Amino acid sequence: MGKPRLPKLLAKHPGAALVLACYAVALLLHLAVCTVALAQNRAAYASGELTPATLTLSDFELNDEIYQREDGMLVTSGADPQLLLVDRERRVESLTLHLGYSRAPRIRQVFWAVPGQDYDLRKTAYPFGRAEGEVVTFLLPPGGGQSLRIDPDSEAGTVIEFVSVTINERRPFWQFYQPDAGQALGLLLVPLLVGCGVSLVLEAALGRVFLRRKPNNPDGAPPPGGEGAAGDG
Amino acid sequence: MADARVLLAFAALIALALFYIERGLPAAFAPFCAAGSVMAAATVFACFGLAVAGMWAVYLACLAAAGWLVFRWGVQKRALPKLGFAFWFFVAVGLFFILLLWAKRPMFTEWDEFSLWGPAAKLLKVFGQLHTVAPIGWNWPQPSVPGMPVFAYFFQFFGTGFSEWQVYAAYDVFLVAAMAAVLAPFGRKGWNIAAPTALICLLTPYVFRHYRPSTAVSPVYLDSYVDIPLGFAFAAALAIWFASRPAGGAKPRLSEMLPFGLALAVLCLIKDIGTELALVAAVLAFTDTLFVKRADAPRLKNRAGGAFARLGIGLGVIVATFGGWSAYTGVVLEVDRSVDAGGRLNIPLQEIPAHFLSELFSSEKSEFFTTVTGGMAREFFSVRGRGSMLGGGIAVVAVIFGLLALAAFLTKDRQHRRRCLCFGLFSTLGFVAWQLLITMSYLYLFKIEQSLGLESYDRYIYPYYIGWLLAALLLLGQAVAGEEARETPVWWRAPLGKAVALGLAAAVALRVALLIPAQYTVFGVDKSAYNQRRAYAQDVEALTGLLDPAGRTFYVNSADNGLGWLTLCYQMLPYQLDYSVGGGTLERQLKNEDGTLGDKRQVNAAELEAYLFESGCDVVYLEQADGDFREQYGALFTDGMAAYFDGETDLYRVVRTGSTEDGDAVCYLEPMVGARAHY
Repeated sequence: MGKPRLPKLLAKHPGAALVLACYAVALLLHLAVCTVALAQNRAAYASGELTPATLTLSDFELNDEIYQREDGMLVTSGADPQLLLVDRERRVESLTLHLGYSRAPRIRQVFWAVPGQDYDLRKTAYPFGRAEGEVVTFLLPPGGGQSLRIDPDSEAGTVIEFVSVTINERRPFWQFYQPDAGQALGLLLVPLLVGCGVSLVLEAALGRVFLRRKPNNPDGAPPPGGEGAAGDG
Repeated sequence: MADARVLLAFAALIALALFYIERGLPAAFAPFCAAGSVMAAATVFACFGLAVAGMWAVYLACLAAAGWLVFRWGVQKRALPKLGFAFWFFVAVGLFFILLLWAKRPMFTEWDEFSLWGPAAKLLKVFGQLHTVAPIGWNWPQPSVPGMPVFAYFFQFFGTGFSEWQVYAAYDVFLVAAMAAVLAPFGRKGWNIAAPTALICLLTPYVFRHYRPSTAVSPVYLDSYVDIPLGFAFAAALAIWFASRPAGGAKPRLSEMLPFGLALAVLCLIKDIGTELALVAAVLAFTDTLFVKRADAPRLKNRAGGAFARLGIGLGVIVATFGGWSAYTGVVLEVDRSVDAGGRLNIPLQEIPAHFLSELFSSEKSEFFTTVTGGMAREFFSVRGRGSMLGGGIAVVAVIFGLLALAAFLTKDRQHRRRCLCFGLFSTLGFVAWQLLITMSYLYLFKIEQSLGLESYDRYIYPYYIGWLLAALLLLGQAVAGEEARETPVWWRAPLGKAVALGLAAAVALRVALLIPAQYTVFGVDKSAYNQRRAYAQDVEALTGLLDPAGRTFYVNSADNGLGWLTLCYQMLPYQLDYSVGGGTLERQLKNEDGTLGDKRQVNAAELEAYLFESGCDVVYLEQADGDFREQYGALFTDGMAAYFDGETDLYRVVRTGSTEDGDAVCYLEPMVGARAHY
C-alpha cells in the first residue's frame, strides 16, 4: 500500500486495509470537492455574483393560493401557495426563512429553476442543519439557483407571519465540509462497494489471493467439504 | 431517559441470542430466533390475559440467560464462540437504527397505522391487554394476529407512556435480525460478498415499496405495517433451513427443526396470510430433504422418512399456531376464523377455492372476474408493472432465476446444484399458489372498489418476492463460499459470483438513489416532517385533559372520510372515543338482505338522541360541525350550538333525564364553557 511498514493487524486483515484505503481516498476526494465549492462560493461573493440581502414581502409575488390580509398577515387559500421572487435572475445559494405559523405547516419547500422553465420536484432545496422552531435554513446547490420560489405550506387556511427572509448569508467555511444525508450515505457506501470490487478483481487476477485465507488455515476456514454455512468464521 | 428502555430491550435480545449461540445455535440465526422466541412466548402469555406478567417473565429469562453466560464464560472460562459477520451486522446495524430513530423521533402517518397496527401496539402499552380484548370505545372485532405489536411492546415495556418511534425501532431491529440469518454463509474471508449482500438486504424494502420517484417521505423503516416484516420473516425461515447445513452434508438432526419451527410460528404470528408462507417454507424444506442426496442416504427412499418427519413437524407447528390463535379468538371474540370470511360475498373460507375453480372453468365468466384476473396477469407480466423498482413481476422473477441459475452453475458441489434447481422449481410453484391466493382474495373477500383497482397489489405480493429474492442470494452466497472453501478452487468461479452480487448491489443502490432523495428516507428525514403530527398529539392531550378518564366521547366531524375519527380514536387512548354513528359522519351503513353492504343513510335527531342516551357517552366533541348539522341536530343542544359557532367551546356535556322503559328518555347537550380544545 505504499507504507514502509504495515502494522501487524493490517497485515493480518488485508481486506480491512483495502477498505480503509478506499475510505481514505473517498474522504480526500470529499475534502477536495468541498474545498473547490468553498473557493467558488467565496469568489462569487468577491465578484458580486452572490450578495447577501434581507428580503421583504414586497420582493415577492404571491400566487393566487395565498393572499395578504389587512393586518399584514398572509393567509393560504389553496393547497399550493407560492411566494415567487420578483427578481427572477437573482442567484440564491442559501435562504433562511423566518415565518410565523398559526399551525404547523404541512409541507414547506423551496424550488428554483432556470428562468423561463418550469419548476420540478428534482430542483428542491432541503432544510439544512437544525431547524430552530420557525427559522429554517435551506441550501441550494453551489453556484446558486434562480427563479426562487417558496411554498410556505400545502394546506388552505394557515395564517402566516412573514418575519424575514435572508438570502446568501456568508456561511462559515466549515459548513461547506458538512455532508448532507445523501452525501453521507454515499461516503459510507461507495468506498465499501469499490473496495469489494477491487478486492475481487485482485482475487481473480492473482488466483491464489493475498486477501483470501488458505483453506488449511485453522483460523476461520470451514472444514473441507463443508460450506462455512454456519457463519462462524 | 425513559427512552433508554429501547436499549435495554436490545441488550436483552442480544443476551438471549448469545445464550442460544452458547447452546449451539449458529450465530447468524440467533438474533432472529431470539426475537422470534420473545414474540412467541409473550404472545402465548398475552392470550391467557397475562401480557404484563408474561413480559416480565421474558425479561427475567433474558437476565437469566445473561447470568448463565457470565457463569460459562466468566467463571468457567469456556472459550468464546466466534460470532461472525452476521451477528456483528445485527448488533451494529440494529444499534444504528435505534439511535437514528431516537434522534429523528418519527411518528405514525399511514392509514392502517391508525386503524390496526398503531392501536394494537398502543393498547398493549396502555392497558396491558391484546387488541382483541382491550377497551377501544367501539366494537372492533379484530382477529388479526398480534406478533409485531407484541414485539413492539417488548421494546417499550418499561416506564410509562406509549412511544411511536419505539414501535419503529422494534420493527427495524426485527428486520435486521432477519437479514442476519440471510448473511449466514459468510465468514471473514467472504467479506467482499457479505457486504454487497448486506446492502441488498438493507435496500430490499425500498426496491419493493417504491416503483415511482418519491415525492414524500418514504415509509420504509418508518412503518408499522407488517408486510415487510412478513417478507423478511419468510426470508429468515428459508435462510435458517438452507444455511443450517450444506446440501449433501452429514445426516441432519431433528434438533435443527427447532429454529426452523420457530421461524414458521413467527410467520403465522405476523400476519394471517403468513400461514400460507409458512406452508410454502415447510414444503420447500420437505422437497429439499427429499430430493437432495446425502452421503448417508443416497437413495430417495432412505430420505423419505426424514423428509416426511420434518414436514410433519413443520405442519404441526403451523397448525398449532394457527389453531391456537383461532381457538383464542373463538373464545374472546366469538369469531370463527375459518368460517367468517368477513368478505363481500360472505362465503366461508374453505369454499372459496371451489368457487374460484368453477368460475375459472366456466364459459361464462363475469366481467368482474375477467377484470381482476386480467389485471393480476397484466401486473405480473408487464416489465413496467407495479412489482418493484426492478420492474414488474416478470423482471423480479428474472433476477431471482438468474441468481439461482448462477448459483447452480458456479458450484462444483452437485448436491448444491440440485438444491438450487429443486428450490427454483418448488418456490415457483409456491409463487403460483401465492398469486392464486391473492387473486381469490380480490375476487371474493375485498370490496368491489378495492378489487377493481387491485388496491395495494404490491403490498400483498411482495412478501413472497422479498423471501424469494433473499433466499436466492443466500444460495448464491453458499455456492461462492463453498467454492472458496475447496482445496483447489477454480480461479474464476468465486469472483464471478461475487461480481454478480456486487453488480446487483451497485445497481440497486443506484436505482434507489435516483428514485428517492436521501431527505425522503429515514436517514435524512427532517424532524419537521412530523410537526403536524406532533402538534396534533399536543392538541389531543389538551382535549383529554378536559375529559373524565372513565368517560366516553361522542365524535362529530361533518367533513370526515374516516381518518379524522380513526386518528382521534387512536390518539386519545386510553380515553375512549365512541364509534359515533359512522365515525362522526352520522350516517348508518345499511345491509342488504343477503348480507352485503348497502347504501348509507343519515340518522335523524331522534335517532341521535336515542343513541346518545344508550351509548353511555358523557361528552360530545365537535371537531367540525357545519350549518347542515346545526339544522338537523341543533335542537338537541341547549344553546342551539351557539357556543360552538361563536368559537367558545368544542365540547358539550351529555345530560340524561328520564328512562327508556318509561319511554320518556330525554337527552340534551350542554356547552362546557371555556373548553376550547381545537386549534
